[in-house]
Amino acid sequence: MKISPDDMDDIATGSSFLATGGGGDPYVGALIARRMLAAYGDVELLALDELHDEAIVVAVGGIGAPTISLEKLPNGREQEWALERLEACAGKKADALIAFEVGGINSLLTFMAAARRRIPVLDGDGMGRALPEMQMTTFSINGVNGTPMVVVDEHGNNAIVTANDTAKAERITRNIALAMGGQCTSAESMMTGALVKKVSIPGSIGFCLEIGRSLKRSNIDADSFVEDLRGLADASVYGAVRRLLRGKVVDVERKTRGGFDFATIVVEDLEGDGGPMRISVQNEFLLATQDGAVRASVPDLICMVDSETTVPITSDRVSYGQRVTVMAVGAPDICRTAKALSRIGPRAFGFDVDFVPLENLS
Amino acid sequence: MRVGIDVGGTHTDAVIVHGEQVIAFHKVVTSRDITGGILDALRAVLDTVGPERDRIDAVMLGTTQFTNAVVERRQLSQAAVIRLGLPSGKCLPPMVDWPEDLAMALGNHGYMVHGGNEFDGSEISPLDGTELEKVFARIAGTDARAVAISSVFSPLSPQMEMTAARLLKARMPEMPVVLSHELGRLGLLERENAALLNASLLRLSARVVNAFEEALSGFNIEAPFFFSQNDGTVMPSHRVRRFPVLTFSSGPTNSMRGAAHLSGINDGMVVDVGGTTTDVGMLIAGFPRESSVNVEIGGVRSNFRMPDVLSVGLGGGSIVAGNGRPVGPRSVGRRLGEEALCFGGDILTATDIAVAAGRVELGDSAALGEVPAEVVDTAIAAMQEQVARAVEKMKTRPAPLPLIVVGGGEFLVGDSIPGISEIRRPPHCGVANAVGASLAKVSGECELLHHPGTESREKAIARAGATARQNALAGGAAPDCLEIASIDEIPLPYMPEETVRLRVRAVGDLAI
Repeated sequence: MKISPDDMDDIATGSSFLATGGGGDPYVGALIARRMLAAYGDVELLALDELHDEAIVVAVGGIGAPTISLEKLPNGREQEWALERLEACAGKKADALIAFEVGGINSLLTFMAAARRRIPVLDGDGMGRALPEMQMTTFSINGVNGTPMVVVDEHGNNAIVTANDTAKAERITRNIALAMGGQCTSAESMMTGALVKKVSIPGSIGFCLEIGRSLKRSNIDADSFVEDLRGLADASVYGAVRRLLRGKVVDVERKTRGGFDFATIVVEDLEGDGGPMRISVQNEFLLATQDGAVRASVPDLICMVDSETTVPITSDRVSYGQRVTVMAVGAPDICRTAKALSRIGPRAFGFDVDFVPLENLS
Repeated sequence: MRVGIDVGGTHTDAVIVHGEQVIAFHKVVTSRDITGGILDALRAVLDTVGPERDRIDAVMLGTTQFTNAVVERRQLSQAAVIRLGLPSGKCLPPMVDWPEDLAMALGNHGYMVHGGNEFDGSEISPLDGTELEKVFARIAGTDARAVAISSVFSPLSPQMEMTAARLLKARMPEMPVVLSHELGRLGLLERENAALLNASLLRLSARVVNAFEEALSGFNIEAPFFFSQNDGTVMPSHRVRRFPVLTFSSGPTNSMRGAAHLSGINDGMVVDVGGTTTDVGMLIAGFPRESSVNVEIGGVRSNFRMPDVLSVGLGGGSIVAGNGRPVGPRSVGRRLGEEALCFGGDILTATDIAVAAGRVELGDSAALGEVPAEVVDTAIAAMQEQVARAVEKMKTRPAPLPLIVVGGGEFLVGDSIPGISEIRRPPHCGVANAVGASLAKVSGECELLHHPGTESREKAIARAGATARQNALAGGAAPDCLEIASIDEIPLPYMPEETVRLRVRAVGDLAI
């Protein structure tokens, strides 16, 4: 499938939904991606099973605080520089790119680099949503060491990080990101086609695009969007879709600690007779409880849209009085294995609950 | 006593308020040159109070002139913008997301040079004097009449914009300069857009302020005068000369603030029916609910604090189709007094329908004898549906709420709307916008990045609060009643060092 400049806005909207509250404002990312595709041509979105097993694939994206890029705009060539440096270091050229994270600006960054290099983007990613750290990708969970990786800034300053495992690489690059002004761009996880097919979430970029298209339909409302979402999820590797609540935000408590935005959002039920829903946030919405029971938990996706406008809501934009519709989407099976849950299950984020799949919850 | 004047697309309204009471009011048709209408309305209310006019403490003006200039691309001067920030932002030059006709109207003079700061204050690149001089030389060869300067993270580190302005002044002493940090919040493109639009409006703002100054002295009024801002507060005239963009969208805010004041209802829905459009919004604690998305002005993205208002194309001057449906969005606008049937014209308008239906007495109802009853019924139903739909869309609580109807066309709204507990049409509701303009509050804001690891939260809030207070005082607030109205803390996620974006706003009464 060819992806055109006009599709960038839909991918931005869809990725904002799949970011489950994280990822920041996609405006700048969408603006650049649209211009890049307009200047360099449409990008091929390649299904994973269409990829040669011998092909070389690289993951690209941004590391650090996405909010920074609304003020310090990118140069526009960062991905290309990072990719070239990684290729020089590995002695191999990339045949296709993959987003390590479909949620948030990283899905758009992948298209920018692919447009300039005139190579395809794979229809898949390593998270199926947004998650805060590199070792939380399905690549890393399934044994891929993301390094060597290259990080660059807007000047082209760069660093090559080689680490024993991705978690260590994450700690090192986060500090490099700070030295580069709070955010930087990376090229990492060089893999063969055969390996990518085993460790990725297939179809997630297409899913993201279709979600964006549905949310931007002129007459859409939150309930008819949930219907669209069910249809899209049925045809994908994602699980069940649940509409958890339509309500009003009555409290937001925030705290930043060690690079994470910790918050608890309390949403009052405006239609049922249930008690208030509490949503725990660490950059992303991770756990939703109501009347003492878990309604959804990470790695399943907890997503929120404005009930009036159906615009996806990011956690830094949640404010008192907002009318929101909260829904949950079952994560793909690859995110729910025992190995995966040890890194991205509720306990990995410090919650004292076991993961229960969305479809087994009431 | 305070005078409030609000200029709308169709009508210009003036009131004189003494304490809580409206003691004089007048409505005229907005004149083509705007100023003429303002003078007519002002003269009428001054005549009403007679010699009492000596007791006027302040005059407040809410005007759409600057918004209209941008929306209609009229009376804009060519202006240049220089962004300090390379190599960052190279792929997104100034005016990147603008409608082409507006960029053309400003002459398309966008420049990028090295400079800018990181979030921690260190430099992205040093400012390069030679590079800047080359840009100045190019600007000197254009028709640009003002220059906007933006720099990365300037709300936190304004020095580089100031240095560039000093160099520009040395080269072009007469050239007016607008610095983005004086106007906006974080968000480079939005702040730069505001600075550039502001630069293009400077000549118009000088004309508007001078005309109003002359007019007031012509009436022997020596009281200071102020302009309404988009957040419901006012700024002194010397500030509007420099920052006309801060008046954007003050009209809807004034109407909603006036509606709350006149009705005594602080939480409810407001429907403001003007000559061309109807604005629907929601009041929370006496102020309009703030829009949570970035508002576009004339197709340009901004990050001003804006009221969340839905505008629909229905007003007193809306043109009614032959069979009664649709009503609007086309409107006779300020030619209502000549072109409506009831005023001797030959166009069937929404006002004619209201007169024919007996909702209001205006003009000559005999002129409506030939309008068939079923056309009147159809048009009334069409108008009612438009209002009900807009109210339903803006109302974000399921429980019934009171609705305040204001504006010159209030008679277009019927007596029952779904989801509404009661409909109030307070006295003077026709001039609620001018009443809102007269409610003079002054605000000041400060935004900074706070690192809780190195400074306590209390200290940071105190530091930001002190600057916000200073800014409010500079804007004319009385020191004794100044309050911190809001403290917003937004953590910056994904940073190793805990960082919080802190924004403090102080609001007080005008010192008069």
